[in-house]
Amino acid sequence: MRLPPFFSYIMRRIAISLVVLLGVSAIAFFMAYLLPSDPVTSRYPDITVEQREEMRRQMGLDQPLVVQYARYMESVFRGDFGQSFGTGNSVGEDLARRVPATLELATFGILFGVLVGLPLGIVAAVRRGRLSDHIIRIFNLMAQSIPAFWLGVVLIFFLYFQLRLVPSPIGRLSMMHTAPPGITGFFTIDAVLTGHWDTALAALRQLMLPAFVLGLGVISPIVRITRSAMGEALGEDYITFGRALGLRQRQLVLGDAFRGALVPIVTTFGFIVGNVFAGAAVVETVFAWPGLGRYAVTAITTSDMAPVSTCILLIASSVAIANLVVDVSYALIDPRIRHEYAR
Amino acid sequence: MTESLLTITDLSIDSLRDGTRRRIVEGFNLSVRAGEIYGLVGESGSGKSISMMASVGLAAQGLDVRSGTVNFGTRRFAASDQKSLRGNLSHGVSLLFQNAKGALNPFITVGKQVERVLRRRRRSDIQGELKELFRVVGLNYADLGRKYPHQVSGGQAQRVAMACALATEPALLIADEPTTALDVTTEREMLRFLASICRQRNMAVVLIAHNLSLVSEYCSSLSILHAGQVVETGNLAPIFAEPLHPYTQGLIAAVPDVDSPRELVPLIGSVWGGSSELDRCRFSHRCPHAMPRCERRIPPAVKRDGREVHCVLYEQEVSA
Repeated sequence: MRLPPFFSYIMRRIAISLVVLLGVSAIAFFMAYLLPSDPVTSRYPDITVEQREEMRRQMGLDQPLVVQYARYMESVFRGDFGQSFGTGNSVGEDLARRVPATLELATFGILFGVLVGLPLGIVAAVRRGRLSDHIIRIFNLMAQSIPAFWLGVVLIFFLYFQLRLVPSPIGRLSMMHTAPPGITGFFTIDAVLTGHWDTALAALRQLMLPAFVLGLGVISPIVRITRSAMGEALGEDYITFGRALGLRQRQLVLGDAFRGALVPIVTTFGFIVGNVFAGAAVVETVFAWPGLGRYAVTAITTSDMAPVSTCILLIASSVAIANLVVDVSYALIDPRIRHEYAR
Repeated sequence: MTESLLTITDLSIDSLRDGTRRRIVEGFNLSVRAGEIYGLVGESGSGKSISMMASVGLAAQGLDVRSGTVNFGTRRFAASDQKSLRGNLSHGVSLLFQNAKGALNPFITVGKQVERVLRRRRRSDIQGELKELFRVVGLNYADLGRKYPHQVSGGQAQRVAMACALATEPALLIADEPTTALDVTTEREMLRFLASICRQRNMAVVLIAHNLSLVSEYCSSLSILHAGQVVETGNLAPIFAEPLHPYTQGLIAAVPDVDSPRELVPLIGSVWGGSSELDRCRFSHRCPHAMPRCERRIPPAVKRDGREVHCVLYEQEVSA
C-alpha cells in the first residue's frame, strides 16, 4: 500500500520533466533556425542559386517550420542528432566520446566540492559566530570570488610550468598512456576495473587540477546553504529535546539536525548541477579537456548548429534529471512530503 | 521536611542579544523535594522556562548564566558551567515541552524515537520495555509505533514525548507548559495522568504554567515569578488562603471561580514595564501599593507561615 502512491509521485515528476524537455527541444531547435546563417550557404559557399534551392529541398528546409521541427524531433528520438561539419562526424559519435569526459570531470568536481563544502558548512553552523565560522566565511568568499579561468591559468603556470608538480594540461591522458577499455567511460574507473593501475594514476593526475577548479565553484553555495539550514535545524525544539534526553551531540548534529537541513541542501544541489555544466565549458577550454563544454563552445563560434542544439538539449536534460532526482529525494528524506503526495 | 531533590540557589541570567546585556532572571531560588509536584507560575516572558532550562544545562544560545548553584541529589554544580550541568543531569532530569510535535523529530517514527532513548540505558529486552512504556503512557505500540510525528494527534505526541522522558528513568521531570497546546479536556486528562505517573514512580515534577488554577489542583508547593524575580514561594495552601504579595493577590483575583462567581480583576500592564533600573521590585509599575522605596532596591525575602514573600510591605517583620 505504501509503494503505489510514491510510485505515482515519481511518475508525475517524470511527466513534468518530459514536458520541460519538450519545451527545451523547441527552444534549441528554433534558436538554430532563427540564426542568420544558412546551413546550405555555410557548407557550400560556391554554388548557384538553383543548386542552393535544390539542396534546400533535399534537406527539407523548404518545408514549414512545424514540419521541420517534427522531423527534427523524430530523428532525435531515433538517436540521430545530425552532422557536425566542424568535425565531419555525426553529432552522436562526437558526443559518445565527449560526454563521458565531461561527466568524469563534473562528477569529481562536484564530489570534491560537496566533500569539502558539507563539513565546512556544518562546522560553521555549529560554531556560529566563533573564530572557525569567520575563517570559513572568508575562505568561502575567496572561493566564490576567484574566477575559474584565472585560477586555472594561474595553477597551470605555477604547478606545471614552474614546479612541474602536475602533468601538462592536455586533456584526459598524457601522450604516454592509451585510454583504458571503455566500460563506464570514466578513464579513472575503467583503468582501475581493468587493472591498469599506472593509467588510473595518470588519469587521476590529469583530472586533479580541472576537477579542483570546477569543484571550488561548488563549495561556496554548499557551505552557505548548509550553514543556514543546519543553523535553523539546530535551533529546532527536537534538538533541544534530544539534548534533554541525553542523546549524544554527535548524533544530534550529524543525524537529526543534518537530516532536517537536507531538503534545502538537496535543492541547492539541483541548481549546482546546472552551474557545473556551464562552468565546465570554461574549465575544459583552459585545460584542453575534450568534453561537452569545449565542443559546444567550438560549435557556437563556427555556427555549427547541429552540435549546438544537441548540447543545449543534453545540458537541459541533465538539469531536468538532476531536478527529478532532487524531487524524488525530498520524498525519501521527509516523510511529511512523502505522505502529502500519498493522498 | 523531606530532603530536597533539586535546589537552585541565587540563579541570575543575562540575555546578550543585539550586543546589549539585559538582566532577565535575578536571584532565582527553588527547592523541589523528591516525588512532589512543584508549580512554577508566571506570565509569558517572566523567565520560568529560561530559569529551569539553565538549571539543567540547556540555556539557549545568547544567554549568559551569571551566577547560581544547582544541587541535585547530593551533587553540587555551578550554574555557569552549563556543559558539566548537562553532562551530569541528563540522566536524572527529563523535560516535556509545550509544543510536543515540535519536540519530536519529524523524520523518525515515534517508536524509534522512544527506542533510541531507551537504548542509552538498557541493553536487554528493549522491545519489551518499549511496549511497556507505550502502555504506561496510554498508547498502543502496535497502532502508533510505526507512525511519524505528523501522523499522530497533539495529545498522542505529548504522550510519546512523555514516553521518551520516562525512558531515561528520571528522578525529576520538568514539564514546561505541557498542556498549553492541547484542548481543555485533553489538558485535564494529561495532568491527571502526569500526577499518577509521578506518584507511581516517585518522580518529582516541576510544572511550569501560566494558569494558576490549574497548578493549584496538582501541586503541593509553588513559586510565583514576575519579570525574572520570585515574588512569593512556599506551600500551596497558605498562599492560596492568604496571598501576601500584591502580584499573587492579583493573579488569584484574576482566576474565575465557578462556585462563587465574583467580579474578575484584571492585572494591568505588562511584565517588563516601569523604569529601566532593575535593582528594584520589578512589579512596582503594576502594583497598587507601590511606594518610593520599591524603586530603590530588590525587595527582601520575608518568611511567614510556610512561605516566603518578596515585598517591602512585610519588611517590618524582618527587623521585628
